[in-house]
Amino acid sequence: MATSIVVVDSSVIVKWLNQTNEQNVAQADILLGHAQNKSLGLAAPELAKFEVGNALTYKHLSTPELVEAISLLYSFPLTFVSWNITLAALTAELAATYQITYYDASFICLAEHLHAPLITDNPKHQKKVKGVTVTALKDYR
Amino acid sequence: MTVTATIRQRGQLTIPDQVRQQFSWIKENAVVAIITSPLGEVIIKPLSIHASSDKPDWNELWRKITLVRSFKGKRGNLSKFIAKDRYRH
Repeated sequence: MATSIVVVDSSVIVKWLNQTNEQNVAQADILLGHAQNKSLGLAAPELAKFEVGNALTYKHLSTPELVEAISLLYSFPLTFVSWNITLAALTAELAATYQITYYDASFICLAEHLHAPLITDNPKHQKKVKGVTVTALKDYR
Repeated sequence: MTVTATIRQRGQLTIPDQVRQQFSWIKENAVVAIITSPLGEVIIKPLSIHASSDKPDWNELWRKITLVRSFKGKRGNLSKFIAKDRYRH
């Protein structure tokens, strides 16, 4: 069991699979290194599988390359959390309260649920939410 | 198996020893998912968060990361694509 947990946004996960025109790749690697060396647990909503899969498709890789990348996504030491009505209701409340998308809200919801910080490379909207620690990937050390 | 327990102040509940002995995931500092059902039930499930104790093959993982990142494709900046895509729908 992990000693501490962080929730990672899809915008971070995708950097473990792509470096073309990506910023903050080194910070993403530091985060994964902490999972390796410091027993840091990584979690994300199941949505992340689809967002990252869609982004990889957008990259227009060859089919074998795409399959290889998707396979790697599923081998990360990352817990994808299934959504249930409790999480869905909380996500909806967060989205409505802070006028953010349900997608953005789902990551914040999981962070709140796990009492964990959210690490994101997409902090613009997610930082609006109070009571949850949202760390921009560029600031991750 | 059915056992009884008493909920104490601020909702604190001690999971009885008989139950703890059945499930190795019920231990101190374990993170669990607490699920409510429309029937008024509360279900506790293990929320398995991977950590180094799960012993992924890190050398192999980093090797594959290097390999997959070397794939050129036709587009990049996927994190920005994800951020924008969330507001396109």
